[in-house]
Amino acid sequence: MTKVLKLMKEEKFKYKYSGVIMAYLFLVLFMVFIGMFDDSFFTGRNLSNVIYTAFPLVMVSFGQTICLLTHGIDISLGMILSLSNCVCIVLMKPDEPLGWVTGVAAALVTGMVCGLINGILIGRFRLAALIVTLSMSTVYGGIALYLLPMPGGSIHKGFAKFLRGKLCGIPVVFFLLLIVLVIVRAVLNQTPLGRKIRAVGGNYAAAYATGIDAVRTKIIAHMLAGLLSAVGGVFLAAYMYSGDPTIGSSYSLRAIASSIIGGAVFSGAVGDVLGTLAGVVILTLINNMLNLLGISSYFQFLLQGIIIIAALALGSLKNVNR
Amino acid sequence: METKVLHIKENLRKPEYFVYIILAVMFTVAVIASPGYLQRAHMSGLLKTASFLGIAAIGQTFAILLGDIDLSVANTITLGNVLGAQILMGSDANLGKAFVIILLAGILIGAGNGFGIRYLKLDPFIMTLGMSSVIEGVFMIYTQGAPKGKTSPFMSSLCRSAGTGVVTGVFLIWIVLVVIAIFVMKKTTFGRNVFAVGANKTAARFSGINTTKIYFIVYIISAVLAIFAGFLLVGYTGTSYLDVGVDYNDNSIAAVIIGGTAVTGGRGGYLGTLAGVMLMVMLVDFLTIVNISEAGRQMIQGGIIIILLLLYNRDKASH
Repeated sequence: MTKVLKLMKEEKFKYKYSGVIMAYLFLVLFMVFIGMFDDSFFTGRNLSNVIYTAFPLVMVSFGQTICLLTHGIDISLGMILSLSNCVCIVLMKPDEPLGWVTGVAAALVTGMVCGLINGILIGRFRLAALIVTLSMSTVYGGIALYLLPMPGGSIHKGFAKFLRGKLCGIPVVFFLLLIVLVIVRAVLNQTPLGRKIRAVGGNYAAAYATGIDAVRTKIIAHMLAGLLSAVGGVFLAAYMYSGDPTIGSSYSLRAIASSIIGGAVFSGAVGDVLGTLAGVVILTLINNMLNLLGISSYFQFLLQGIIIIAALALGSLKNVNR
Repeated sequence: METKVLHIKENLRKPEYFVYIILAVMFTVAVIASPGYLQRAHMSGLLKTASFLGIAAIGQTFAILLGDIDLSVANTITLGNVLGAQILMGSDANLGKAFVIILLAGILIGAGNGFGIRYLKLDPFIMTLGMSSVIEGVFMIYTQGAPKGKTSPFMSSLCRSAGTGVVTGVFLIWIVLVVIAIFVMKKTTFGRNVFAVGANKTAARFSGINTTKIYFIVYIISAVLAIFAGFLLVGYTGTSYLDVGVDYNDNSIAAVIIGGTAVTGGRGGYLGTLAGVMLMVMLVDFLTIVNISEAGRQMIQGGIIIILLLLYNRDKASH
């Protein structure tokens, strides 16, 4: 115990994890607050609802965190989610036993290709990430609209049943989320690739001078982000039993908000997907709370804005003297 | 003489002038490709649409010059539209009241952004995003999801061209604001300070610039102009819509960047944005005229912006 306390006092630890700790602190306070007002919050049914709603945003937010770590940003992730969602539905063969394979594979490849294009434009051509992904977002949205002009289509029943199913009373998606979390966190915190991503984000010139292939690192980071967003798109296809070309439009900005609430910073290198997860849950719980307490959904946006600002203001107050 | 030619050539390479060449090329293509492009009604409509975006883009230019971004522009426009229509209720008598309330709301939003950024130390990106959500909440609660209200005769007349000309009241307002914006950016101490802060915040602070004041003024300018763009839109739409502002974040940012203002701040100006705005509006308009589906329109619009950025980049690489 004393060892843990000692570790927590270390400057390095504080620097690395202060954002994450603040995010979880806020999350716990928030959950206690909701729990006090409503008994049905801590029921299995409600919590699995939260997981279903949060899952796609978690995927996109993990991707967003990776991009933020490279001192970049990707505003097109939401539309990559839309596009892969549509690709998945269009190529899905609902009647064949293994009809879901082509759809899912194509969707994941689509996500990676979109990420690759973003990565090349940002890494190789050194264009500003914000405006590139803003424009590419329009392009991906256009392609999605071309593939599936109207929300609809049908999904492979067995596949949807699997993703919506439960294992020992816990949604399958929850385990999927844990697996992705462990993999992404391991990649970012333990592998050379993760170190390269942080190095490029922290100091581009220094990383380049040390022999890191900065361009390739950025491209890989954006491809990973695209892939994760595509996973979110595939899940939404199964969850909604259909495709929707505009389903992802709100995801990009919410993903940025949850990454930042979770301790990532715009200047790169600092951030942890564990914190991002807390950020996503905080954002998801806002709607959940309004539902449970029976408050008009018109308050949703107001509260979301106030909570984003409050959560971050709380985190930055102790740094006022920097 | 020799050096003068060189000087002009050098200047044309800069994005904020280069964009005018692209604009000219596009205009020529549009005129050739679609008969009736130069007709009075069409040109008047084009300039009118450009005015709303142009007014909103003034604030965005200031914000981006600071090295920041204002993501609350879109919802501020919608708020202006909703508030405006609901207060006017079809009567010119309410014009004064609407004007004052809109102005106060704009100042409040801008000051809120400035406060969050300077005193809560939030990143501008996230602060304006949060503010945007708050504004959306406000107009959702205010309208209960069903906006009402009606334009007044005066507001409608601002959107009609006088006599046989192509000039509308809205366009005139924009032109006046353009002149003021360019003058403020180029000739006043405040304008100079914005560039200085955008280029290097720390250096600016140590050279005695009150950075907090600059931030507050820039965000208040941005919010007030955006909310007035929304107010003017009442005359155009006749009533208010909850998604009237939706495209304005993306379009204003794109117009500013296409106009050659650097996302990192400190370089650029409204002269380029002016061309960026016209380019964006003409692009959307042209793709509508040639009757491309919404899907194709989006693909081409995004693609063209990327191509423009690549063109600029090649320019930068040669320096």
